[in-house]
Amino acid sequence: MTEKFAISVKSLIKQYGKFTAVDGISFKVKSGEIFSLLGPNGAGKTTIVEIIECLKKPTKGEVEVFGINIRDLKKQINIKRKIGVMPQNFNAFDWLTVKENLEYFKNIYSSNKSVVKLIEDIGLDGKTDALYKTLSGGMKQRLGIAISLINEPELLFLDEPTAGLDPQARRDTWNLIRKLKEQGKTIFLTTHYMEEAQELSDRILIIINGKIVTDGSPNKLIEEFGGKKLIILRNCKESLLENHSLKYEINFKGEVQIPFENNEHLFKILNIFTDIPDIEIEIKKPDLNEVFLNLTGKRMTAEGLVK
Amino acid sequence: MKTALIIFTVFRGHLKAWKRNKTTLFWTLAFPLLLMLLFGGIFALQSDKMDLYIENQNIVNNQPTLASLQIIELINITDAFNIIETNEIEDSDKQRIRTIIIPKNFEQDLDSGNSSIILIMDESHQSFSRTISLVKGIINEINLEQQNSKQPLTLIQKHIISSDLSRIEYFVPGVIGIAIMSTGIFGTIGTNTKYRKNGVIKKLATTPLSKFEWIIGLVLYHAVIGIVSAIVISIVASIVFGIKLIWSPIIIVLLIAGALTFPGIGMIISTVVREEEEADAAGNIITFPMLFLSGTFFQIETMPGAMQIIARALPLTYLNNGLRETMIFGNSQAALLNCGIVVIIGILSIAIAMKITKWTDL
Ligand SMILES: Nc1ncnc2c1ncn2[C@@H]1O[C@H](COP(=O)(O)OP(=O)(O)OP(=O)(O)O)[C@@H](O)[C@H]1O
Ligand SMILES: [Mg+2]
Repeated sequence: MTEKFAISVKSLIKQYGKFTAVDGISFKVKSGEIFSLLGPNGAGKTTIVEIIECLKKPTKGEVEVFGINIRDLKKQINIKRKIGVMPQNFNAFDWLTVKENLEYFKNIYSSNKSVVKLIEDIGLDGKTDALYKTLSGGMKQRLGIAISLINEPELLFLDEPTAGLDPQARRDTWNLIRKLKEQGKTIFLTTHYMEEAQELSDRILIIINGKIVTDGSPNKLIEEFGGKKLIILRNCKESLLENHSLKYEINFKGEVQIPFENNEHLFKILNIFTDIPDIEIEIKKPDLNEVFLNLTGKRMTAEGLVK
Repeated sequence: MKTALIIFTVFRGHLKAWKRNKTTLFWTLAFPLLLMLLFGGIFALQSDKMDLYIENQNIVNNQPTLASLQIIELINITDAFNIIETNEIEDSDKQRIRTIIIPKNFEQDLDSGNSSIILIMDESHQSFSRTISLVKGIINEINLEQQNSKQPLTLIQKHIISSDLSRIEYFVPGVIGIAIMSTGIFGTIGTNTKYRKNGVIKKLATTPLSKFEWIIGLVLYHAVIGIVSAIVISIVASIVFGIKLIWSPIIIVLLIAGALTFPGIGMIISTVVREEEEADAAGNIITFPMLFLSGTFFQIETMPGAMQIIARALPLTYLNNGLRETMIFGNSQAALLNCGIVVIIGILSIAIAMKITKWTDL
């Protein structure tokens, strides 16, 4: 079976002066998948996408989009026509309305897409004639996605599309992204939210300091690097655990965590606590947070990497 | 066709933003109007007295006659004129805005009840009607004194075309020039640094829009607001100061050339100096000398030699000269020369801007 690749990156290096932001990265993105670049602030995510989007020149390495080499300046326009881009910290024209902004980009692409329909799709009907600068952060992001869809691109780049959104707005955006995938678009997502990568991605590439840490589907990564499943106990006396000679750890939140292998093991442990009503019990499957922690020994938070 | 639509889209986007933004409206319209009204007011206060050249030919035995001295005194009493007495007969001295000639036989003729004085003035000049009514008032006064005849003294008017400019006439084209220059340079620096900072340029760079289309759209926009600004300034100038401006297609060419020159300079500055405040400072360094040396406030001919040399190196000088030659003097030939210079500077600066502006690696 020959698979179609939307993007192929080989030994990519990008240096800003002496500083190496992207350090020899290779990967491929299949057509129709949601591909996520996951990494902490400064990992080099934006640098990588902007090279693929023909905004930055690579220092070394080869990048092909739809089989077109991005170094071929004359053919860059063919790439640009087929991609939709929402840059990090996207902004449109402050003094134009939602509709006018969409029409602006529609004209640039000479596209036939219906602006009214797009506005409906992203749920900005009520704001059609509102100036861009008067929109809330979430609305601006949604308009950003709409603008990046105006040329009906096959490949969509979303650089931190939910940064700074409230949980509901984030869910809405995720649903929109899923819908776009159903329409057959290839989506290149950049994020530092573990949850987002896990929820949406078919494949994840984790990078730190410009280098690949690992890659794979979320399930594969969790299976491989997630570690044990855990029972988490709150309000639990340690003496009780010691009496039953259970193996346990105290996590960074001060909670008791007991690893277990399978359901039988799980029920055996839980049996011990049936008569102690105060104990709060939570059963936790590992997620990407654990993957990340196990791979790097660090936890990724909004503030960056912490031990 | 596609390119035309794209350029039009860019142009319309800028224009809409301009219309909706009070700050940009202020700088293109309100600021030049305020400047004009303020200085127009100052000039009006200063030039309260009108220059009047008096040529007294009524000399007998090397002495002006009593009657001629009497009429000069009457003119003086009105306090409306700044009298300059001349003896030489210089037929058509254009520098003299208004001249009164007291003829040789003035006193004699007055006694016989059949005398006249001659007023030589440009009838199209804004101060003509005021001058004529003052002079007629004086003549009436003399006639009332001379009881023995019905109309002993009459006024003979002679028309000349004078090149004398009131200061406000000189000033108005310069105000238009300043408006074109400041919106061109600061408007472009502002848009460029803002759009670069907030990511609009980055987004545009991911689309098929070329920097050529973007820049031409910007130039078109500046040409249109330049024309709007010129029209508004002219209308206000003619209503408030009674200045008649001559419109000709050359003005449009000049304004378009200005829309190439100054946005071009603005683009070059914001490409070379990337920080917002520094770019603004650089804009000030470039506009400041043009503001004062390009003949808006002071006539270049009256400046010290070194400054004249600087003035000749500034594009605004030629735009101002071109506008003045057309709008005030109606001298197309001189205007075309200046226009040509501005066009060349404009094409050069926009070409350099296009060369050094980069979509990528922003
Ligand atoms: N134009 C530039 N000049 C110099 N260094 C740069 C430039 N752009 C990025 N860098 C550096 O390259 C590294 C990677 O930056 P990049 O923006 O790609 O990170 P990122 O993974 O997108 O981070 P974030 O999650 O904060 O968006 C950072 O250390 C950054 O400081
Ligand atoms: Mg980034």
